Amino acid sequence: MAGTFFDKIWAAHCAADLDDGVALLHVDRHLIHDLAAGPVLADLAARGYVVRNPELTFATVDHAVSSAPGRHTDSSPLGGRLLRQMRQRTSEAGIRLFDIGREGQGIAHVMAPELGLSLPGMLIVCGDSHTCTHGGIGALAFGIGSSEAVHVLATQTLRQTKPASMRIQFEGTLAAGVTAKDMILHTIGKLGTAGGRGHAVEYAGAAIRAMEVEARLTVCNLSIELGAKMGMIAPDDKTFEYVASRPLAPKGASLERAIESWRRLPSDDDATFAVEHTIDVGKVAPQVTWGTSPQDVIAVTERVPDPDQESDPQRRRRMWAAIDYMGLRPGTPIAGTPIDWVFIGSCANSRLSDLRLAAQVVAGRKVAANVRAWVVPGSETVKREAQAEGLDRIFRGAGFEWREPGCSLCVAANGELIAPGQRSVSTSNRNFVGRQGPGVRTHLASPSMAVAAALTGYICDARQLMT
Amino acid sequence: MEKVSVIRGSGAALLQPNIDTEVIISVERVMTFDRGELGPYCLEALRFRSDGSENADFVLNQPRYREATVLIAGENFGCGSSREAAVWSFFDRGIRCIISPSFGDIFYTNCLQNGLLPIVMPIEEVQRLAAELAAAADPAMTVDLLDHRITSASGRIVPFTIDVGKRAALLGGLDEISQTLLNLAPAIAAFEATDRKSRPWIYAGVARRRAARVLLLAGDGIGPEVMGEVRRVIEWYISRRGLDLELREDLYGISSWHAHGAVVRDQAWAEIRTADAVLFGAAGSPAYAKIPRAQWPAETMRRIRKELGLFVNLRPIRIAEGLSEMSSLSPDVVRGTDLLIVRGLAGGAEIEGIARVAFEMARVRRARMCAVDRANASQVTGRWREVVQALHGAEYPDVALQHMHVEAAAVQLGSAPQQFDVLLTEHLFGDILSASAAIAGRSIDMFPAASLGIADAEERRRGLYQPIHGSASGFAGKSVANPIGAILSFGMCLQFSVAMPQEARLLRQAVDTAVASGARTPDIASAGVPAMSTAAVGDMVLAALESLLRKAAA
Repeated sequence: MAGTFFDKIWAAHCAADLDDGVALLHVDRHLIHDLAAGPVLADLAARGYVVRNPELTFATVDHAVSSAPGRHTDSSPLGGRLLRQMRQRTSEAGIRLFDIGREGQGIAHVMAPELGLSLPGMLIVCGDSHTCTHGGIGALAFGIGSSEAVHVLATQTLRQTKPASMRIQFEGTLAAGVTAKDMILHTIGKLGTAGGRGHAVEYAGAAIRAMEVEARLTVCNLSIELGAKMGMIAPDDKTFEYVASRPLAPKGASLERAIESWRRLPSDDDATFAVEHTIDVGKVAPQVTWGTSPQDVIAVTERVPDPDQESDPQRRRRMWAAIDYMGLRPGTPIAGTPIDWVFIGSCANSRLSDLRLAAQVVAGRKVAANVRAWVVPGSETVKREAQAEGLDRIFRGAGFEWREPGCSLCVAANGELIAPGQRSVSTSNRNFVGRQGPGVRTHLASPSMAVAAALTGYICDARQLMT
Repeated sequence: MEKVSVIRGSGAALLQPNIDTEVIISVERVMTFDRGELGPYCLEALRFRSDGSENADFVLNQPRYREATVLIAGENFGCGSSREAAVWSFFDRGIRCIISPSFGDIFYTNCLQNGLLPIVMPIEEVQRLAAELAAAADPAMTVDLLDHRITSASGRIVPFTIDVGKRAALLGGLDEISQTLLNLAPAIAAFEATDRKSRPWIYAGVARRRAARVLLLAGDGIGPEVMGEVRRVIEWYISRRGLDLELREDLYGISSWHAHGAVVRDQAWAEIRTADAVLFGAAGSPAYAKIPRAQWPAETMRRIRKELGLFVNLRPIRIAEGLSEMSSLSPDVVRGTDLLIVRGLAGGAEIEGIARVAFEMARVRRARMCAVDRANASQVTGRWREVVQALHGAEYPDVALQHMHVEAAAVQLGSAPQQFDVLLTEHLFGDILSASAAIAGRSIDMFPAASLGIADAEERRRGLYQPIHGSASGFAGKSVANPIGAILSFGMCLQFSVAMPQEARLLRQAVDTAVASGARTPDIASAGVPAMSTAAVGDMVLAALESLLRKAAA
């Protein structure tokens, strides 16, 4: 029978069929992070279990750690407690921890693909909803809750109901100055944040094939913002080339054998999906959000929508609430909106390719006087490689702050907050009310757009700075 | 998970609808406290006024409802965020049953995973139960899961329904994990066995540790006897825990000299060079006086350490529960002592590397380190202190660092050993201090030691594991030697060279259990109590391993 890419990975990990359509799935990689690792391992011990496969479990420090230069364990007080507990618990269990200041530390969804811990065809879980990111490398990856995490630690499996399948075909070619982030934000704007609910989404089409792996990770990262727990891209030669240079990935004959099996993963030609969408990417312009949900997104060339034009009263109320919170005026161009903060980082956009792109836009200019701008590399490896290329000097020379790797201002769980009422352009993935601090107004955008905003002091079309 | 059957206690009614999990427990409390500590923060947002004073009107603050075991709740109870700590906070507070017209989906599932009985009933019935509670002189209720019925505060019997499978799981104390382990462990094992063959790269490389190569050298004196017991423990791990370990054995010492004309024959040197770990019994015998000096233990042991690339020596001193009574010091002084001496090996390995190991060990213990030196009287140890301080400031400010002169450390170890976590010191001081610390544990034969090399990418270290006792030639062959130091040394091997700390902990627990239930060779036997043989103590450790394993499976 013809199968989808998703069906094939699902079937390959099914250790048992349980009642009511629930499958017991084997987990190839379980990533744990500082916010959850200590508590979850403590819960496991309290219930009297041990970690079944510590060698398939990897720990990193990202959520609650300070991103301040010269940081140490207790730079974030709450984070310090969690980190100490995490060190003890992972050590007791024999789980490898990528600690601060060490090669490999970083945001789970940046460091794992980068190290070769995430591979095509794998089933990867982590107690974080953006685990779908690893779909960009051709894995089936999704976020889990703390009970599920304990189940995985104790059994290396997970009980899971199979979602329906969806395919989104991206046809055409992205215009110059338009990135993967713009493409996926545009998609969320079209389909809505519930568009993918209950589905595992496969992204396909010419625009996806043309993308490098890091850009694919960005696309998959925002699957959860589309309402889909899982989002994935079938592996191809670009993926295999990326994997081959990863330090912890298989090498030599073992890699050859793996690639041979990975080539069988893509959806069969006659595979069917419960839902299919096609999106023409040729006309997509750089995107920026105007509201408090990732679906509240427009092209930077457009105007803030007028809720009174909306016929659905519930939606109209929600739009007004968002516009009020964001301090915008309906019908005015989004470009030209003055900003206070820029954050370049997060599991959506903090990889080396993102920072290269961002650095190109700087081109000798300075950050606007009233703007505070942070660059937070996604991992220690990204940081070191960026420094080796001199990207840090470009950013610092322009007035950006160059910080230590972690989630930082995306989740603001480490005490790093933006002041109430301030407006930020952020390369992260969530513009929810209060996400970057109480009363903070967040506009999601690509790294180039964020740099452009930092340099001019207002939201603007990054393409104008690239010519 | 605690089993649920008949729940008795007072009820309390909180009928406000849509109480969400953020109201039940705030995210700050979740980040600050673990499961088991959350009770005081349950429903904090309702129990306290904004000025921090207790809201006396709130139901759970009223004396008759304060200790409630059963909560009668409003509609859509536990909606919102998935945080499981919401359920934990009720459990920690003593609530064992919640009766509501409807629950948030995830909250309901989480209740079942944590031994908290959620009962869904029509809203009229919930309101009636609440009214009876308010009217009763004593708000006592009973919820009987065996018979599916509630006895209300007025004594009325109210039947309820719950899914058969969920009821069985609650009665049996089985959360989803225990159900998976109980029913599906063979399916998981079978899947993994096949998968390891078809997709080896998932488990290969970093993720799959190759079998550790372990060489057993029993050595001189009592070495062969104690290592005989170690061999039995290793065999138990291989057969009962599937430990992936290649075990080799060779002669060392006078026995080897007689058999092969060398204390370590060439073949044994080849084994040492490729070994991940060498488990060593003991070296020393009067017979060395008759053979060339180059074959003496000082020289061969130095070469073994060199071949393995070892630079740091670890000596944990942990007083097993039940042995503090037998210490030559007062039981109150030694009880709970759990310290680790980290020292350089002879030959002056670089200080920073040793200090780094000590800081790393402290981080995963109690984050305290005492650096012992003699900065007041020696230039070498003065430099030691500088290096330690610099490393502390640069990389390990989270570890509490204290400096102590060696004379003071000797006094403190003998009078208040519980104060120490990690002690860092140089070779000779460490040797003397560990012997002195071992006194706290009655017999030096109880304590293990490990000499380690640098950690590889899989965080495994090559190591030489050897109890701190000597060859005790006078006692050899009498079956009186205490094997515990040697067995615990193998535990350190599980920790550092095999990198399976959970298995190491199991072995430590088994030794504690055996000692607590009376495993005593003559060196630790109480006066008037018959002492056991080496093998009998080994039997008790194996029996304890077996019973711990059964307990874990149940």
